[in-house]
Amino acid sequence: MTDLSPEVLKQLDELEYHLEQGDLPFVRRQCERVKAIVGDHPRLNALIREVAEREQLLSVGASPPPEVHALRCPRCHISLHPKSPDTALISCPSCSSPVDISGSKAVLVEEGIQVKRARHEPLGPLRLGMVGRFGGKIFEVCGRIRYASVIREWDEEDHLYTIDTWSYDEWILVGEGKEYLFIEEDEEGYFGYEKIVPNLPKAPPQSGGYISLFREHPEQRIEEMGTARIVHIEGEFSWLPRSGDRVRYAEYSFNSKRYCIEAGLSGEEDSEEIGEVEFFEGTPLSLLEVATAFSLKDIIAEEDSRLERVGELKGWSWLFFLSSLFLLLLLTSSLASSPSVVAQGSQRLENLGPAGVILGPFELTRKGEIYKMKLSVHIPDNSGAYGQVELLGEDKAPLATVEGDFWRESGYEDGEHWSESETDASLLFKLEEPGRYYARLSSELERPISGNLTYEVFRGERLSRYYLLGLILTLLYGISIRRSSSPNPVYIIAALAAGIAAIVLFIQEHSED
Amino acid sequence: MNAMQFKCESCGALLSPSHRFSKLVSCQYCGSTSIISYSGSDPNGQRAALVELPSILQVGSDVKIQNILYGVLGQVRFKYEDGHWDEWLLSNESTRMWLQEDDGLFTLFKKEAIRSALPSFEEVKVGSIITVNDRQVFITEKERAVVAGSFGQLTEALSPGERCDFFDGNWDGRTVSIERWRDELYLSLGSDVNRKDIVIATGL
Repeated sequence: MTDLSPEVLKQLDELEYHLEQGDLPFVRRQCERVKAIVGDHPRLNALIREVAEREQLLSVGASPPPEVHALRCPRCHISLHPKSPDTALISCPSCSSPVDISGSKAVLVEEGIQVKRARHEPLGPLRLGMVGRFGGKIFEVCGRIRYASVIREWDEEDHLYTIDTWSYDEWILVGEGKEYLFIEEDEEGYFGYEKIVPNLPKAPPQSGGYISLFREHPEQRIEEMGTARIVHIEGEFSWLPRSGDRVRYAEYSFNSKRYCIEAGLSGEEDSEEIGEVEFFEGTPLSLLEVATAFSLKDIIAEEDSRLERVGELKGWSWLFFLSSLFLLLLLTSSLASSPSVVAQGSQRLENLGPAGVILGPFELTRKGEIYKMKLSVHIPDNSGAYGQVELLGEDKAPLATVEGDFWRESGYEDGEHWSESETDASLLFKLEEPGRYYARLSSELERPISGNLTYEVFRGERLSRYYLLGLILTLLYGISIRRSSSPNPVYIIAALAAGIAAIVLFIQEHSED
Repeated sequence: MNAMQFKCESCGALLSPSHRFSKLVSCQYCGSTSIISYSGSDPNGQRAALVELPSILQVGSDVKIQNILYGVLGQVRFKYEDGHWDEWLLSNESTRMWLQEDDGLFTLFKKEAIRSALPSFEEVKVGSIITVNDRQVFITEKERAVVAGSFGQLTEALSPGERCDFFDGNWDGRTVSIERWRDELYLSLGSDVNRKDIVIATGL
């Protein structure tokens, strides 16, 4: 027998005191620890025996026997298998009914409220039971709550709050040390939220404006606020969420973090009485981060490849800006230049008939250049005429035609003079073959009128509207590629084609034999 | 069949929970889960049995929080409409503190004397601000809870089912808790404790 140190003796005194107080498990555990250090000792062994006897006595007689119930869904009677004794609410994997197991029996939380599960499938790859690693800690996905929300969202362009409806999932993840992580998932992505205690707490405002939860942060615009309602619950929870429960919330961002104030609303449907206010700090999570946390290899590979493609496409965005610059130069030059008349002729209408009159010849010399042939008519008010000009080759064969039913109307209405007319038409053409050309003017009149039919051929026409269109397209897509996380390859090809077409037009316009 | 064995209601096989206060036990034969409810009596007939929940703390162990060593003397579990939380009584030679464990979050509370009049429990509204010892406290929660059970040494006898009304609030980044026991108000000022700052001490 070894002598016990004064510290151990003092501890045995304390344990004997606790034994008399009835703290049997505590005394038993402490005795085991003391025994592991000092070994057998009569006083210690007596204490251990005493604890064992008292526990045995209690286990056979003093406490009434426990009640045991099979844990089954009260609605469909399928066995329920909660993962944690901490679970207060579990949704039935078969009929989705929420079941309260916080008491001694399984009780349906509500009858028939749960909306069909098919309508609330998860939005992404997260599923109950998945295990992932966040910030070096291991978490299990234990629950999911689908909220349907009416939100007021700040519109930066119009400087007002717009109202919309939105739905999102809140995934409840429980860590090894029982710590909670809330992942919010909607169509736009993921946010990982943790509870915080701010030094400037406040209830979620209902009227927008600016807010800060921390004295050291400047106030920020409330980006989103609204009321969300639980429409679906699945998994396990240590509290009792119910379909129909409402929360009012407001969110703002600062320093790449999202801050959220959430207030549970209690009481009647239209009541705004607050039951509890909680504060959260959120960090944006990309799909790749979520997939990596849960080792979702297929999604990681898909995301890697998508991001690689996006990176490659973004690498080509300089081409769009270069094209835009080039098109801008073309547009400026085309707007600044004025086309010159290379041929023209005129005839009195009364001298023309359907057979017409051939005028010319005139020389067109620049192969591949864009020319414009214009036909115009000068006729009196309230009259009309059909006019036509044909471009003829040296052999008098027709090559191109400009025609039109021209008219001029005017009169008085309510004492005011009005006038409307359509008196010219034109055609752009590319000169295939330099040489001598003729123009045949012809006309048909409903009634004899006096007037002139004139044709003009212009050189140096630039296609400014096409340049403008090309410029807008390439610029817009260049910007969208830089900003978008998933640029659409079809649009990129279209924009590139627009740029290339503009360049080809320019080359054709300026090429000379 | 001894007192720690029960029959599975689905297949009749014997269930042997590893812990005498386990709440849920799975049948190793048919896989069904059974829910066990105890009478609530403890050896003294005063304290409710506690379901063993996963926690890093254990009554009888020593724990270092922010480098200060405490003995974990006792545990009280409170239950309210939306769930439950645990409070652990910590003590060392110089002080006595309560460590609240709620959904994996830890808050270390120290009791403080109430030096000014407080509004009644019924008057306090969540989302409002009240003055507590010259501090402007934003009220975040107001609930009625009951003692679900207790274990180990406690500063006073707490009976299962005993009512405790409370309202919690925030002040300057800290948690303020005001509890009403037997018509007496008690004020505690809490600080968040990061899980990594809680170290279970080994050895005596």
